[in-house]
Order: sequence, then C-alpha cells, then structure tokens
Amino acid sequence: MTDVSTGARTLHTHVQHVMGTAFGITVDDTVGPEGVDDAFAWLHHVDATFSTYRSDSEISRIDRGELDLDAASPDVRQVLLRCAELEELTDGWFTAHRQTDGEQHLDPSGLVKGWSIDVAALILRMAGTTTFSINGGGDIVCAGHPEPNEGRGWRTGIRHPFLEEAVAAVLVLAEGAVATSGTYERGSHIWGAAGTDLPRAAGAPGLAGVTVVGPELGTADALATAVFAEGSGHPAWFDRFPGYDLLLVTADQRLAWTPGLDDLLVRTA
Amino acid sequence: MRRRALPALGMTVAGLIMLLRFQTSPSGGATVGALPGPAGSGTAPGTTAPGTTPPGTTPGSTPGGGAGPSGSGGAPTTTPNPGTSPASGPTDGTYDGAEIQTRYGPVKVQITISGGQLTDVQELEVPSDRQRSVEINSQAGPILRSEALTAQSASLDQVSGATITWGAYEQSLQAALDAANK
Repeated sequence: MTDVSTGARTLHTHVQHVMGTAFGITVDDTVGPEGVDDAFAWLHHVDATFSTYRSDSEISRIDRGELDLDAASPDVRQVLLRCAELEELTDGWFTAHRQTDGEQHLDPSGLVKGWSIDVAALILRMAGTTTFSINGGGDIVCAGHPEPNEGRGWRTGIRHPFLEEAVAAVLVLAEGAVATSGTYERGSHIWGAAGTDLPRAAGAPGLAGVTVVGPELGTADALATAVFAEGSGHPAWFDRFPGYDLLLVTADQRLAWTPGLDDLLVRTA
Repeated sequence: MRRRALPALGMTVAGLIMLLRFQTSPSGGATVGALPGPAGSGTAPGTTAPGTTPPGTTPGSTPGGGAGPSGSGGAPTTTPNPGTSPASGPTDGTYDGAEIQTRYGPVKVQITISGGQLTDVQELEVPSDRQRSVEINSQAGPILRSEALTAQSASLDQVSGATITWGAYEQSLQAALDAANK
C-alpha cells in the first residue's frame, strides 16, 4: 500500500501488470475502488484484444488474414483508423507496422497503450474521480490536484536520459498527458513509449529523449515515438498537432522545448 | 552511485513482488502495491515523494530511496508474457534468474518460492559501473527554447520515461519464475 498523507485525504496507488509493463493508478480516498477496478479490467481487455504476442488477439488474427477489418470490433477499427491518420500526419514516421524477418506485420502498439489509458481516465471520471494519475510504463495521464491544500497540479519528472536516478526536467501538469521516448539503453531501440522496439532503426544521434505533452496520451505517445525516430528534434509535421508540446533532451545535454511549456516547466535557479 | 542504485533496485523488486502477488490471486482485489517510485527523484531517504513504500512493509524492500523505475521498456530480446498463469504452481526452492547484460553491467536476481508463493528476491548482481559516455554532437531545432541540461532533484508526484534496470530486472525475474514453474 502506498499511502501519502495529503492533509485531509490520502492518495492510494494501485498497481497491476498489464501489456508487459507496470500500470499504476493513483486516486484519492474520496472515491471507492470500483472505478479503479473497472479501469484495470478495461486495460486487461485491451491487452487481450490488441496484443501482438497473443495468437488469439484480434490484431494477430487480422495480421494472419483470418479476420476482416469489417468484422473487427469497433475499438480495433477505431484504433487502426487513428493509426492511419497518424501515419499520414507524421509523414510516415509513426507506423502501425513492423518488419520481422523480412515480413511486414500489423502492430498498432505505438498507439494502443496511450489510447487505452485515455479511455481508462474516462472510466475514472465517470466514477466520479476528479484527482487521479494513470502511469503506464512511464507514460501518464493525470488530472486534479495531488495536494488539495496547495491546489497545484502533478509535479511530473521527466526521466534523465543519462543519469538513471535524476530527472532532466520537472513539469507541473494540472491535467493532460505526458509521454516520453528515448535511447536509455541501446542506440537503435526505443525504450518506453510503446514498450516495444521501433519497427525501423532509429538513428536520432542528436536526441536522447523526447517528451510530448498534450491533451491525449494516445497521440502524445505516438508523437514522442515518431519525433524520436525522425531525429531532427522538431519536425515540421509536429505543428499539425495543435495543443501538443515538445520537450527534448539532446545528446549534447541540452534541454529544449516549445514555448507552450514555458509556464509548466519548473525552473531551478 | 552504487549506494544510490541499491535502494532503487530494492524498490523495483518490491514492486515486482507486489505485482506478482496480485497475479496469483486476481480475485483478491488487493491491487494496492508499491508503485515503482519516481525514477529520477534522486531524493535521499526521507523523501516525501508518493510511490515510496514505508521501509520494511514489503519483502525485499530497501529502506529509504524514492528512486524506483517507473516503468518498463520491455526486454530487448525476449518478451515476458505476464498475462498467462502457469497451469501448476511453482515448486518451492530458490532459482537463479538469467544474467541480463545492460550497458551498465549485468543484472541477475535469485528468487525464493516458499509454500508456492514468491517470498524473496535477492540481487545477485547489480551494475557497479555507472559511468555514462555521452556523445556531444547535436543541436536542438532553431525555434525551440533551450538551455543547458541539469540533473534536477525535487519532490515529485510522478515520473515520465522508462528506466533501464527495470527492464533487466523484469527479464531476469521472468527467467527465474520460468525455472520455478518447470
């Protein structure tokens, strides 16, 4: 049990293992557990439906040509449609396909986790929860005020790409999504955003970490992955996504951000 | 750095134990566990950051240290499938996990199964060399604001971004669990 005293109330963090990573849902004690249970049930349902590791998932069946898109569930069709949109809007840097052994396979993982957390947030709101944080492997949707007496948003650290136990920046988010991709371990692999490796070799020698902040985690997560893969830092197509901001950690140890984050960044003297 | 690292690993294992415990009793409803704390809070013992488990409440937890990985990027070569439960329970005993190489050195854990339950996770090997080599060769885009990067430490509510050791731990632990279930 993780209890953090916040004056009149207590925050609880519930953790489950979903989609190959740890998901934490933090809520205060003004709400019952039902909303959290429903949110986790939803996440497990998404895992079963979209997993590329389960041969009986809808995605695996579509990939093998055993299930027509027209016969797929509305959720699957909605996600694949959004994947196609994101692929177009990012000039192909986001993709819902991966190459394995020379064959192309359907893999919408880059959107699924973030999108599923967006929906889980909706489930919490419908249960009456106004202050919460959902963290799926380092990608986050939050709302409300963790310290009611202070009325501030969530103090959100952005993992430092080179120092495992430091953060590169701190953002205070009252409401919204934050996703981070980076080369924390291996130069050609992305750890984090989608919990999967990129389907292509990501060059990006100049970028160590890409964080995207915006209203929806599905889009933020997909954009973080795509911006990292593209490698220039601030590709022109990023501006096709109003409401989304970028925070970059460059390989030469600089922090860079779009002006929309000016008021969210906690500056230290 | 090494002293710092150990509490972080302890927190990771504590988190995993809670997760695994939940998996074995999905109807229990006791989903409350130690969320892997902020990866980068860098806070000393006595931190007030949420995600910190009170010392001693969880087997394998290390007192203090608010720094635990906040997520997983998955293992680079194998993918544990946590969604499937073994048909039969694990056999009592101790099992070594695989030695997982990270850029910072090997990670290896040993688990103890007692009464069919995971009761302990020991760190047999942890990365000791925390040196980072950093390329210096790039510029940020022209329209971005920018400043020199500094490692910040602060009281945090949450951390975005995956951590290395979490992935390696998950991989080594999975290998040990696989051995226990054979």
